[in-house]
Amino acid sequence: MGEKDALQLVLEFPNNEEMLNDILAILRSKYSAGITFYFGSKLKAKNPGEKILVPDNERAIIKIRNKFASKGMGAE
Amino acid sequence: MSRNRKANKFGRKTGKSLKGQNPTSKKRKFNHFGSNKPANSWNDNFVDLLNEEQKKPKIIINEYMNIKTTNQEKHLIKLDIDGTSTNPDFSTLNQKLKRILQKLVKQGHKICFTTGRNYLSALPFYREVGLDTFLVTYNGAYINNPSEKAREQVVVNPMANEVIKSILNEPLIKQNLCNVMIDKIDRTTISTSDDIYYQEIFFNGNPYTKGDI
Repeated sequence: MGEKDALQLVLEFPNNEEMLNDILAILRSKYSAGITFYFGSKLKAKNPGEKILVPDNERAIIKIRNKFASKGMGAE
Repeated sequence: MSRNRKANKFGRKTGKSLKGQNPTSKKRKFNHFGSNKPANSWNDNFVDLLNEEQKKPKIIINEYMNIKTTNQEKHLIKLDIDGTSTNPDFSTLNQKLKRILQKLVKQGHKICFTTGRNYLSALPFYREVGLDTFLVTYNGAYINNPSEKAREQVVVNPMANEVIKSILNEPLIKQNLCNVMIDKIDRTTISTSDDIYYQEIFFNGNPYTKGDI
């Protein structure tokens, strides 16, 4: 994993609502001072071997970044 | 409290301006257009509408943000990459959109990609359109101008390595985790998976290290 800081951490979980809610609660309660996160479905190939991607309802993704990361900052 | 809001020609909601809501807006060089519309919804009509708006002597283009425009002003147009600028494969740029963006650049507007992708994964789209503006990546954690003219870093907002380790060591996360991917500040990527999602959205042909975290 190395010792350098990171710009993005992506975590992949099974799509289990109860478990994901608990994980999101942990992130909110313990880490919200330093991080911001996005939660959504993973993407998968529409058909095996195809490159068209569609949401994968069996897997969930949490993307974690620095609290101050904001798309709007680019405009400033 | 209800505001009399209706969609303008660009599909954005407008309404009565709020006094003092954005006092610095008049100082901005560009007016801002954000879009998260899919690529196939963009068409040449957008350019015509923009030109039509600019021909009018002085109008309020977005009352909600209290931004005024004149026919001399240029716009900063920010748009996402995945699901907005790409084809459904998420790896190739929609060519119709590319032509429109290049047309807008020629007219003096500024185009800016703002994405959650990592820098190396977003860069080919920036280069394909031929932009010279800044590139917002990692959802704003890393903003710089990759063009030949200016290569200075603008914003870098990393997460401390200790925070990453602490999150990964949370028992509930450790027990249920299927895959992890980390984009380090030196632009290296470590991932436990290399399936099509990671290949297309994060790696995009760039080198990465596959292994245990």
